[in-house]
Amino acid sequence: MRGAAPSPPDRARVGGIVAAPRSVLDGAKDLARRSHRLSWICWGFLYAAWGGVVLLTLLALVFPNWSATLEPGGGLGMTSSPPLVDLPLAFAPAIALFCWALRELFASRRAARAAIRGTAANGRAPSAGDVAPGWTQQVVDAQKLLTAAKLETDWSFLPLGIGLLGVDSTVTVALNPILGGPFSNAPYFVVGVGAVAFCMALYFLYRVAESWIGGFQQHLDLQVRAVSALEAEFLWRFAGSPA
Amino acid sequence: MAVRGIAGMIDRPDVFVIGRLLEAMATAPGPMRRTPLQQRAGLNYTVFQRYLDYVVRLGMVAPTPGADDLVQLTPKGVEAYRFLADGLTRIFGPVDGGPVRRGAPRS
Repeated sequence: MRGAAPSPPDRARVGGIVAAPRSVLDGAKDLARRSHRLSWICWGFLYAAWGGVVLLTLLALVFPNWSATLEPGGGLGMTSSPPLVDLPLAFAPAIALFCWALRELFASRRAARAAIRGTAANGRAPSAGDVAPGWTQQVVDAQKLLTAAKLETDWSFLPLGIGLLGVDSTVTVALNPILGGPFSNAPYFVVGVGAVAFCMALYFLYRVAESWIGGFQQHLDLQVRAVSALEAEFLWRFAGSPA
Repeated sequence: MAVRGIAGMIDRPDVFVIGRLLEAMATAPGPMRRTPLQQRAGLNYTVFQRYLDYVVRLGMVAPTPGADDLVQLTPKGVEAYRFLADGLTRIFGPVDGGPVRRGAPRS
């Protein structure tokens, strides 16, 4: 048979070895994209949370909700606090964004695990004529992407923490009349418990993000080592030297 | 890709590039001319030329008897391709459009 230019169906069949290294970069790109989206959601949460705080403050100023509280000296004081019914309304966008951030975080972890197990879609099969990207270049690019994604994810926890602090303090102020006023110890306890609970939740979420990106980085390292071993064995068997 | 100037001499060959060349030939219906082979392998001309010389020197690819402008896989080339395809599938998992198994090349 003469070696004419390959027909389209034959061209489409090329791709196993070509697509293999590309799948590494595709996986890293996917993680970087997810990390970037998570960062946007977290910053959105910060603005939504503090927007809620500002809204509640304005509502308390425009429509004061006075309540009598006992002062330490024994007298009665009047304090204004945002009505409790306004809390869910004012914080609805922040709560929605927080839930979205959680969903994104866990979806990213699932995607990373699928990529590590090899059950994820493993990259597109390139068409003939694409210039081959070198394996080393792919790994370097993937590592750069993962480092940037890790940094971006780490910084996503800052707006998340500050936003949660805003929600915590506003909820505590709104609960003042129920908890015995600003001069009783109950609000401090609520702030403390809330802050500890949020810190624990953030630490747990941070660990999730660490396992997601760190797991993929370890996976990439293992792949690099496996390819090096394969390369050495291939050259030993077929070229007569381990290069 | 570490490639050296002397034809057929490569300092540290990239197995992916070798794999692409072998795969392009293994999945083709028969012996191939150099230009279509270069296109299928997705390599630029310089890299393609060096790696083709390299695999010819290693005896994985040979010119077709009676038609020097055509090249085809030798049994050693088929074995090398299988080794690489199996190894890479083991590392990366099955890839879309994955390795196509073939027997000895047609002459």
